[in-house]
Amino acid sequence: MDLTEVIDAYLVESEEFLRDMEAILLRTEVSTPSDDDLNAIFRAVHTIKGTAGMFGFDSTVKFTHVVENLLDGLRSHEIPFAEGLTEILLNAKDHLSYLVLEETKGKIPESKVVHGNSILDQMKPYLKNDTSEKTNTDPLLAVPLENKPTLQTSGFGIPAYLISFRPNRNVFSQGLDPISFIGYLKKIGTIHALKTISEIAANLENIDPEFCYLGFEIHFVSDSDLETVRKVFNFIENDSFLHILPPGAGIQDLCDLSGQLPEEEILLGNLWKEIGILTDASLIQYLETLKTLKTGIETNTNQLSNSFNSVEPVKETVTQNPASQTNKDTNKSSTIKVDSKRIDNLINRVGELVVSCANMNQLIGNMEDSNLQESSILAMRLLNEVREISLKLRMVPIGDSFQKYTRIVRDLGKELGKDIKLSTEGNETELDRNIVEKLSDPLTHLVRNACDHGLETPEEREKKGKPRQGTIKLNAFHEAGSVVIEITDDGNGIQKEKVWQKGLDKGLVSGSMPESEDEIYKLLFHPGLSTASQITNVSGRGVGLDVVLQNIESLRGNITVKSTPSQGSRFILRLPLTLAIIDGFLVEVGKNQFIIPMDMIFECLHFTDENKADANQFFALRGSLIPYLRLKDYYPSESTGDSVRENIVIVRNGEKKAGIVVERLLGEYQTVIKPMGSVFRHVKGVSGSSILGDGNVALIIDIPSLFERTITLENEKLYK
Amino acid sequence: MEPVQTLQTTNSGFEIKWQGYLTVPFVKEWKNLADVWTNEKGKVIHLDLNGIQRIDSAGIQFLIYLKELSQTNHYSIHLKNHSLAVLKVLDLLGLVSFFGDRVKVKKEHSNEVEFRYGTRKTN
Repeated sequence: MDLTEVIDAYLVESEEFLRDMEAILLRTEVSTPSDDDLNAIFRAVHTIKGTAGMFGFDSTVKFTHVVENLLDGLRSHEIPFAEGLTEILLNAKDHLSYLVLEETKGKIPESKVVHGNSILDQMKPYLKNDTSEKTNTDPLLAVPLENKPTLQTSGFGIPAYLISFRPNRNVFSQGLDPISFIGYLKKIGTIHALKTISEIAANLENIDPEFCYLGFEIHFVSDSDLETVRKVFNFIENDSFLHILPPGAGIQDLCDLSGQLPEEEILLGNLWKEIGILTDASLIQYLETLKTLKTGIETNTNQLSNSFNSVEPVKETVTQNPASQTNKDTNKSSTIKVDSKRIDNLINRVGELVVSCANMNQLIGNMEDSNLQESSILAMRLLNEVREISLKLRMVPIGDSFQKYTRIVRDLGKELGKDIKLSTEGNETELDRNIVEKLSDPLTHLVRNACDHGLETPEEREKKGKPRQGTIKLNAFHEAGSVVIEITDDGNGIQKEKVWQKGLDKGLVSGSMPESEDEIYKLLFHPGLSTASQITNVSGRGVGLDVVLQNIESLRGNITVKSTPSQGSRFILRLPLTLAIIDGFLVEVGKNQFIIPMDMIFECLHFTDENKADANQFFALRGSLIPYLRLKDYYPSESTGDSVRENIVIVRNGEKKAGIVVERLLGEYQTVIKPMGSVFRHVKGVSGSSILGDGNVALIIDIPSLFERTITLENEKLYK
Repeated sequence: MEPVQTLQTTNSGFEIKWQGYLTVPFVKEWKNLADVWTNEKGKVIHLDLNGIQRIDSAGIQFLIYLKELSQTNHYSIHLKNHSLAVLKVLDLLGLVSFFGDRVKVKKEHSNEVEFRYGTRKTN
């Protein structure tokens, strides 16, 4: 495994822990934390410390060590949970978030260390006997802090590095020789003992001499830090199993490791004894711990306290109740962490499969073989299910992302002297993880804007007869194949006149204010336009909404704004569910084919002269006028030479409808979206391309962007 | 370097002298040869490794394969006249006792190998 992947996993895991920690701490402002809450926070900090220790991230380890002491006191009720602790722990969480992220990139600057120390100082009055100074007995701390291996004076700690290395099977074909990496270890230390494990006996009949069947357990003595040792295997880590336990790691660590290795745990115990990692006594200890873990019956809790993994190492969680342990194990195995690249890869492959099966289906449809057609339909149905399932692998509920805004709103409220409540709805709404990640910045900006510009101070609100506490609401829901996210505030609303005036001042618009609100609000997304009367730390520098729009558009989404004076504003973000595969509708103009996302299609009609209400732009549909455009006007195409009867595809985007005139309707088509190359990224109206089963390329029409163009061409008031 | 092997029949079986590289590019071919030698049961095979100039993980794995195969095919295999290249790898990987053959180290090579572990003595 590549080191970057391991660090990425550490970052993701830490982020999750810290997010949970923050959510719990925010709850403690309303009610006293429960024992479960305190245990959860402790576990979060403890786990981060342990993993940071493995990588030698000293600053993180030192900081978390003191925080952990405080949390330990809290959960054992030796320290009462005082009111001021929430603030201190929230600050500690923030600093920890910073440390976790920045220390993976390099050394933490002195100013930040000072900042961390000031947070730790605030904890001191709560810490009995100032445990920050007490001798560190955590074996994991011994490595990074001392930066050299140390033997444990009490309890069992492995005497030096234990390197478990199983090269991947294809290592020879990659031109790599595991022996040379092991040989290199000698340059930074001494191989005290090494045991070669071979899987040859098990594969004797079918051995392929070009595959690697070897594995190594190495007792390695070195003054080098963990990072240096790990670097020895940098080039070969990919896809190989490499686990390095630092000197001082405990029995629990060996048990965890044995669970990950292919060999039997007892065999491994003997092997580690053979290479001098375990003694006779510690081998027994190891076997007992294994037994405890398997049966859930604890024999000696103290021996288990050296865990650095997320398995809670302390007495509370290694319970005497086998049922609860079993339950925990069940929960553990119910989810697995998978590299998102693998999922992307799977989705891409499924996408290709969808395309080729769609083509095959088309060909079979032309044949007069009912059995074949029936089988093909069944295969397509199954494939659709596989597609749905694989797409869901990348779906995450938006609620996790919403959670962080509680903190932002809380802190901003304090900073701005406003009383603000955040309410969320639709937390369970699922969205592609890639989109959720990219949504973070725009949403933060919109929430901050709502706090700063949107909401009034409690006094102002009181004068207006509103409750002193302002509300910001985040809401997410699915609508017509898209996800809609709304950010609503019950504040002042946007002053249209002021916005228009700013637009005039900047020379962005001219003339009198139009009736269309959308046209006015669109000005808000121009770079450099801010209506804030004063610049604050929070917002008002005129930088932001333009970037928000760019971010949303890059996700093939759009933003609309609604506002009522004195009642509040609503920013509505409309985004596609996923960026990978869509159900499309294939249409043809001349010799070119296009795909319109199925979710957006309302109906298809024959386009005749009678229903053209306007010579150019409008179409009469059951008493209402709908603007339309001809696709061939935007994407000129070579004519097929046949005289064609035109059709109009009525599409909808949110509340609006429009028509797209095409020549031929070719029917439903599942397709994989291939992103446009950077050269074509500026092209409006196209969100990607797709390779059809027959090898032709079809452009995927970006309806919101086409709407944009239609609106620009015509006066928007006729939409109403 | 292209490997060369010479085969001599002895009273109890064969003696094979290997020369050149025992590395990934060649082990596949050598395995085919080895499968032929080891087909007859009850034979004793001596591998003279004096001419091995380079050996890598694939090569050492191949030797382990021959040894493992000898258990199921009922022949015995002995490594002799280990070259320095072979000795260094056996030393590094602690495999001396696995093969269980007598190892001779030339005086001028005594600083190049340690045999600190993986010998019967330490195990």
